[in-house]
Formats: sequence, structure tokens, C-alpha cells
Amino acid sequence: MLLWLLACAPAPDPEPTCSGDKTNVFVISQLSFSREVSDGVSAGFDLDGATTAAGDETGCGLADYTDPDGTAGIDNQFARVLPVLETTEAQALEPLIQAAVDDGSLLITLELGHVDADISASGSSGSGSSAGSSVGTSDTCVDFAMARATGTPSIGTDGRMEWYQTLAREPMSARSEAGQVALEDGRLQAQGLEVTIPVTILGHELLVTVLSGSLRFDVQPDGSVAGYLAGGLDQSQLLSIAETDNIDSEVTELVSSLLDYNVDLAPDDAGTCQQLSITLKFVAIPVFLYEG
Amino acid sequence: MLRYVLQMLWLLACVTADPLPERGAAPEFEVVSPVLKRLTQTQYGNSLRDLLGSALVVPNDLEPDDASEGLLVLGGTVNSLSARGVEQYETAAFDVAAQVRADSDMRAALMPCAIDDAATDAAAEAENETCVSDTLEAFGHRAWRRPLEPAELLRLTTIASAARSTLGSWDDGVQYGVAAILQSPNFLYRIEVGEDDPDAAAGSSVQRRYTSVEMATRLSYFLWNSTPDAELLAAGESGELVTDAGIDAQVERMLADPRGRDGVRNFFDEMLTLYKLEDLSKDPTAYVHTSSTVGSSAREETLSLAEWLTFDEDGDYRDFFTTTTTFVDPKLATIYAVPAPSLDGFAQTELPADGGRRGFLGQVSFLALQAHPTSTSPTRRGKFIREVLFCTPLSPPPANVDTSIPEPSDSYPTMRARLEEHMSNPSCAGCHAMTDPIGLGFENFDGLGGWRATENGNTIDASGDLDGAPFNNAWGLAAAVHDNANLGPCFSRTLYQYATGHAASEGERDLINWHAEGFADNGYKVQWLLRDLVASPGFRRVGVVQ
Repeated sequence: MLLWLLACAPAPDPEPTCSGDKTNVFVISQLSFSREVSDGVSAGFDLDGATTAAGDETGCGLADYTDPDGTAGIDNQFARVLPVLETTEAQALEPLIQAAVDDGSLLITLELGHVDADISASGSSGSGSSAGSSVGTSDTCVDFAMARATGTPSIGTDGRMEWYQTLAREPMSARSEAGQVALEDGRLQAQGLEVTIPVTILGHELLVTVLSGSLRFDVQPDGSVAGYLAGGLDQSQLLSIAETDNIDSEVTELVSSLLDYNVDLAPDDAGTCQQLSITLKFVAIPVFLYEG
Repeated sequence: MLRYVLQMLWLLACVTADPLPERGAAPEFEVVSPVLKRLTQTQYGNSLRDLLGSALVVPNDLEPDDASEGLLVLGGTVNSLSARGVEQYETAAFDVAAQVRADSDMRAALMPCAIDDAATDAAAEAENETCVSDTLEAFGHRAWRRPLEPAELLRLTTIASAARSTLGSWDDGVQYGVAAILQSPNFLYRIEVGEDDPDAAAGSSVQRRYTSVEMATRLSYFLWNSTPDAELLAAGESGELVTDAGIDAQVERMLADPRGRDGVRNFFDEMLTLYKLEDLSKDPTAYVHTSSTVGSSAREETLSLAEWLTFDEDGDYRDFFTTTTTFVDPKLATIYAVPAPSLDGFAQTELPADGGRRGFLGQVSFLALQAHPTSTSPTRRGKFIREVLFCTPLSPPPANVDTSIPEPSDSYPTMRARLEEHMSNPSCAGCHAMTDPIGLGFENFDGLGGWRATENGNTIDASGDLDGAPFNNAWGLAAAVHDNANLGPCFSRTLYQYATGHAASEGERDLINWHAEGFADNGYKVQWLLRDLVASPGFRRVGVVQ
């Protein structure tokens, strides 16, 4: 059984210089993998700055995807690995991730500081005439960070986390700061995020770090945000997971083989790639963080 | 020099102070005849816990209370008890008596003496009889809120002796005696018939007053919603409670007691029918925030606000409708889209000053209760304001009129459009014109109390007019309610009825108006009105038994 949790690597706190006086917090309420939507097409990011075709010297010769919006060079090799993994005990991975979100063990917050105007515009707060979201609006300077929250989220009668609930900060988790970013036409993009995901496999807790993570989201008409988080998974870490005692040796061999043939990022001096690119798809809803 | 400064300060005080208008004596009024008041379920439970301890599990399988004039305490004066209801009281009395017998602490508090069931000699048996008699006399005294007559005590000890003889122990006897006390009308009903007033002015139409002992009970159930404690009962039995000074002293003590807060909470609970929130049921497919506990949370929010405004702020009752202060738990904070001030319970918070939610009329308690399970109800919301807050009774719809409104459609996409269509029927328009223009002001709140800007894709128009005061939205409406001339007098009238335990008669109109004027002149402070009503001749005088 797999249970994904998330922690964020510590980073220095930059001095805020953005001028807005509002803070908006979102929590990821839906989390899944970005899959191949059609042959060669998958949403994600160009993480290595190169567009690689099969057999090229860059990207360890593994063909990149094209984003549904037409952007080339998308690094998301996990989308090729996932269908194979799902033939093993990892088949229930996505439901387990969502269950972890719903039960509060995987609460990832997106924190936007010094925002000029509320992004979700408190669509349900009764703030006078300001109802609605900030779809398409811009803010040239926003402090962006990811962190973890804790607590048992309140679930609505529709089975989803309730908007505007109040969560507590996870005291043992450091924030991952992306620094100052811009919100342009309702879209926010950030780079340099390092997200460590503890993976629990058959009772063994292991840390998987999404290295050099990139994130983007778009403000939705209802005031939520939806987007993608991507980065690289370290091959040696993944192997250590696969070599866990309780995992069937055939699965271990399969994972090892998959990694050997699919790592596509962070080549070493010899040109051998060390990381597997992965993209996660998310929806995040507005919440508050308890400041007491 | 010092004298000069003091003089200047005195003059300054005289200049700047806003002197209250001279208040004349209470007007003549038509005194009412005494009525029997059956304890409400809440009073029954409070009384038992105050008599026997908080560990007592109060039986709740009792005949439900019915309201009269919107108040449960009045319902107990006009609604008779069914045969089944009598049986339920009997069962409950034996349940309580059994609990007392089984709980060492409750038993010790009840019986200050020891019983030796194994005693065989006459002297020891006499001591047992004395112990049982003393126990029943003391408990009966407190439960019946007056000393027992010798004949009454004899009946109780006879019951105890019979039970002991039949069942074998004096513990059985005490248990039956306690049960007899608790199913007696002397406990279940407040029997206040009054006495001739030796101080009544010659020629006055009011020649009778409640006795000092009866005043102890009246004060207690008004201010504490429970039975008198030993000190209040003693004050009553010493004759102090027919004097202004004696009453004042007890009222100050009672309002400072935590039970004073409970009493005010109960009044608001009854006036606003908040107890109905315990059974709140909403369509979960229509309202994702609904839950089995949201009704209880909403009730607590409103009661906490009433308690805070009355006691902590000693504030203006009208601010109950406009304040941005409230008390929320995490669930309500989620519905209101504000940060929860506490992660595990209720705490005080301030709603956004630029937000549209403020006061009682912006709370889930009002918005959800005065709505349908699947939709809002501007009619219910408006009717509540007219009837409960302004004391303006409305006629029920004629029996042969179709009260349904059109379903949402392209032609009638909003509740406003649907109601306007409904009001095109002249037989409906009369009453709906009194309610719907008010209730539509709350259309930015859905049937649970969550905020919404649109309805079926259409921007909500929450504008309207309240008795000549235009408003654009719910917070404008709240301000109009705050300023409405009927608000204060209606509150005075309702509290007067709650205090006296009877529906106000036409002959009491001038007296009630006199209290309302005093309430206004004294800043609409609820504590002031509580004290004023306790001193009222309407609270202290009584007519002859019919």
C-alpha cells in the first residue's frame, strides 16, 4: 500500500518587496498524474530547456512530449512509466493519493503573499459587490511559496474538500519559496521549487524529492486554481524504494528496468541521466491558515 | 482652587451629560388573573439539575412543548397535558429517583442523615422514620419552591412507609417519596395565585400582588429559567421579595450569576425559535456545507452573540442586527468564508467590515431556519421579521389559494421573478407585499446561509424597501431593521410576555408601551429592560383567581 505525503525542502526566506497587502492561500484538493492524452501529447513543462527527439544526445535520447497547447519539449517520462506501473501493486496509486489529500495527510498549500487583490475574490464571503474570481487579471509581483498544512479537512456533501475552511500550518515542514513571480492574465508560473514527497510503501517510509520543480496554474471562473507541478525524481531514490524488502522481486526488477530506460533529466559528467521527469495535475481551492 | 476645579468639573458634567427624560410612574393597567404555568422541558431539566446535581441524566422523553405567542413558556400556560404526557412525567420521576438512589454523591446530598435498615428496636426505627421525613421535607421544600404543609408531608411519608413495607427497605421508601415529589403538580407547575396587597392604594384597580415566596419562583424562572436556589427561596420566605430593595438585591445577584446568562440565552432561544435548529435538515445535493451538526452550531452562534451583547457589552439590542462581531466554530467559519478563530470550538471573531454578512440576520441560524430544505424563502424570512422582530401578525394564506410559486425557468430564472409572478394573483399579493420585499433582501444568501452572487446565472438583485427605508442589499436591510420603529417596542413586548408568563392583554398596552419607552430612553440595553420588567407592576401584581 502506498501513501504519499509531502514535505517541502527548506529555503531561505526572501524579504518581501511586493506591494500588495493581501495573502491568498490555496490547498491542493485534487491531485493526479499528468498522463499521455494522445500519442506524444502530455501536459507539463520543458524542464531541461531542450526539445528532444528519440535518439537525440540531449535528454538521454528520450523523446519529449508536446503540451496540448502546442508547446514542445515537455519532459514527463513518468507518463510513459505509469501505465506499466499500474499493472503492478501500484495500480491504485492515484486513488491513494486522493485519499491522502482527503484525510489530511497530504495537504499541500500554495501561498501567494502581497497580492494586490484577492484572487478568488471571496466568491462566497459576501464581500459586497466583489463577488467572482480574478480570471484573466494580472499582478506584476506576488510572493509565491509552497508548504504543508495539517488537520482533518472538512469534506462537503459532494465528497470534496470544503472551500474556505481553516487549516493549520504543518509545524515540521519548511516552506519552499519560489520568490517573486507574476500573475499574468490569470496564470501564475514558478520555478525552482523543491518538493520532497515521503512515500510509504508497505510500511516503509522513503523520501522522494521532486527536484527543480516547476509549477503553473490558472485562476478558474469559480475562484479555484488548476494547474501542473513538475520536476525530476532521483533514480537512486526510486530504486531504493523498489528494493524495499516487502516488494516482490519481479516488481523490483521491473521498476529498475523502467528507470534505466526512462530517466531523462540531470545527466552526469558521463552523460547518463539521473532523474525521471514527472508532472502532477492539481486543483487547489481557497482556504485560510490558522494564525492562532 | 480645588473647590473651583471641582465646580468646573461638575458644571462640565452637567453640560455634556445627556440627561434622560423624566420618567413618570407606571400607568394604570388591567391586571390579569393568575394562570398555572407548566415547566417547559428546559425548565424541567434545569430545575432537576439544580436540585440534584449536574451528574443527573435528565429524562427527555416528555410531551413536547408547544409555543404560544411564539414562546414556549407561554405554551405551558394554555396547552393541556395528555394522559400519555402524565405517564411520561411519572416514568421520568421514577427514573430520576432511581438515579439519585444509585449515585452516592446525589444520594448524600439528598439525605443528610443515615438509615439503618437492619434496625429492629423501636428507637432506631423512629430515627429512620425521622430521617426519611426530614429528607422528604427538605427535598419537597426545594422542589416545590415553598415549605410543605404538614398534610403534604404526611402523604409523602405515608408513600415512603408503604414502599418500605412492600419492597423491604427505607431506600425504596425514599425513592418512592422522591418520585412522588417530582410528579406532583407542585413541582411540574408554577402555582402563583397571589395575596391581597396590604399596601395597595385605596381605589386602585390592582389590590393583589404575588406573595414573596411566589416572587422567588417568578424571579428565578424569568432570570435563570430554573428553580430558585436556597438563598432566593430564603429571601422569599422572609418576605423580602415584596419590597423594592429586597428584589433589587436578588436581581443583581442573579444577573451576576452564570445562570443569569443561561436565562437570557433561553429567552433569545425561544423568541427566535432557535431550538428548531436542532432538527435542521437541508438537501445535501443543494447545499454541500450542510451537516448533522450545522444547526446546533448555528444555534450556539446566535446565543453566544446575544449573551455577549447583553452581558459583556451591556450593549444596544438593535446592534444585534448590525454588529460584525460574532462567534463561530470552524464549520460556520467555512460557510462564512472567514478564517476560523479556533480550530476546535467556538471563538469570537470579526466579520469583514466590507463584507455583506453582519448581525443575526446574516447568520446561518436565521437564514437556514427561515428557508426551505432545497431553496431560500423570501416569504419566510420576511414573515419572520414582521412577526417576530416587529410583532406584526400576518394572516395565514386563504385555504383555497394555491400557495406554490412557479418553478425556475427561463421566464422566471430568479426567486424575485418567481415571486413577482406569484404576486400577480391579487389574493396572494396582500400578505406577500408585507413579507417578500423584505425577504428578497437576503437573496444573496442561499437556503443554508452561504453567500451567492448569482442565481441561475443571473446577478441577484437584493434591493428593496422596508417601511419607507430603501436598501440595496442584506446589510442595508440590516441597518433598516436596526432603525425600524417597531424593533424596540416589539422586543419589550415579547420580553414582557416571557417575564410575566402570559399573553399580553389589551389592558396592558399602556404599561408595555411605558416599558418600551424606557427601553429606548436607556439605550435599548437588555439588562436595563430585565431590571425594569422585574420592577414592573405587571410582573408583581396579579388579579383574582377566576
